[in-house]
Amino acid sequence: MNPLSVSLRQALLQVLNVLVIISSALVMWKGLSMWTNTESPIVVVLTTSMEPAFGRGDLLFLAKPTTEFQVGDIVVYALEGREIPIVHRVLNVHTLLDGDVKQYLLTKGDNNGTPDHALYGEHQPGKLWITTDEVVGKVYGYAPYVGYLTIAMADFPQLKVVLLGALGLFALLTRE
Amino acid sequence: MHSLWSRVNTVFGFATSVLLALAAAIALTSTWELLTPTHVPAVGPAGTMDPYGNVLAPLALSLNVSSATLIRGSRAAQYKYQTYFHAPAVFVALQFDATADLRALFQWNTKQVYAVVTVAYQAPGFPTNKITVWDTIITNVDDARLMVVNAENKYAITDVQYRDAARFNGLPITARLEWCVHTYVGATRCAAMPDELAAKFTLPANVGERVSYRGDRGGAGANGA
Repeated sequence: MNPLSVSLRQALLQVLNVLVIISSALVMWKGLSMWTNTESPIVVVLTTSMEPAFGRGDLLFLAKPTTEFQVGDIVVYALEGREIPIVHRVLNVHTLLDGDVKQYLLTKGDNNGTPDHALYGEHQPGKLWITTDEVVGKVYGYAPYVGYLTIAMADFPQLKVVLLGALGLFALLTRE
Repeated sequence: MHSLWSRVNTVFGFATSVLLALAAAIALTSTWELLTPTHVPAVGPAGTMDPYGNVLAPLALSLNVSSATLIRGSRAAQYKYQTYFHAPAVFVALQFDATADLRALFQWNTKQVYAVVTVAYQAPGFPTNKITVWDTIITNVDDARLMVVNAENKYAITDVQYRDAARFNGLPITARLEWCVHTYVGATRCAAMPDELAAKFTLPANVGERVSYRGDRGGAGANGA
């Protein structure tokens, strides 16, 4: 047999392996997303506004509840014009009888002095509540520090390149 | 092959699996029973001593509202309740006492307990409304004997239809003590005091009026009034 064709076959197999790993990770993430009914079922805390409950780098497990939101729930919400979603606790709940909007919520960070009106009004002046459709999910579970790597990668973009490069090379060059 | 890389890979993978299994075991074995409302006793255990050796009275799970006032909206009221982004026509001012022995919520995986006093009411167009009146974060079991005496609402009590000055007139209110347990790893969930312990009262009939519930409480505040 021609040795060149064997090595070509080997290389193609390696590439296929990498693709399988990537696609299975994607399938798992999307499956989790469907099961929890939220676009991002796992998020990393970036700020200290929920100390001492959640600190920077902590991992939160989210889901969209089928029931209404309650006072005391910790929710992740995304505001129009603001890139990074916010993790804060629900302070007030007003449930509408009917209509498109189901609930009006007021939130506050445990470590903040006042409710989030200033955040709501940042890009939408006069906005006093968030509505249910702005809520990405409710926090059901918690694991400390696990997400610190993503914060490190955001703070030092070179780290991301190095890590991804190393992983890719490792996957491609390893031979069984 | 037993190259250095494959050894590193195996060790790292095994360490991750062990950590994950450990975290899952902690999460599964510790949280669930904490989260039932009955886990906070109606009357706390007797025989607790303070640092000087004095025996302390057992703490009941209780919430009593002693007075309610409808305050007309003003700059002063806005500053008092830090309502800087809108001008509600009416604010509610409450005075209340609360006690609870939350020590049973503290077990080896408990990081903190978030205790909160809420008021719930129905209003036209909005069948359920619930507002946070007061809250505290307890991170240490030594601070878990909750005793709140003659406190005022820490946050603004205003309705979603905040321009309507008559919104709160004569409105029946249910106030509850609730709590959320946060773990070092695992689930985060909340519970509330049973309904028969909740403080039920009616707000004053007009803006500017104050109602005291002490007179008819027989030592029990708005409870059972």
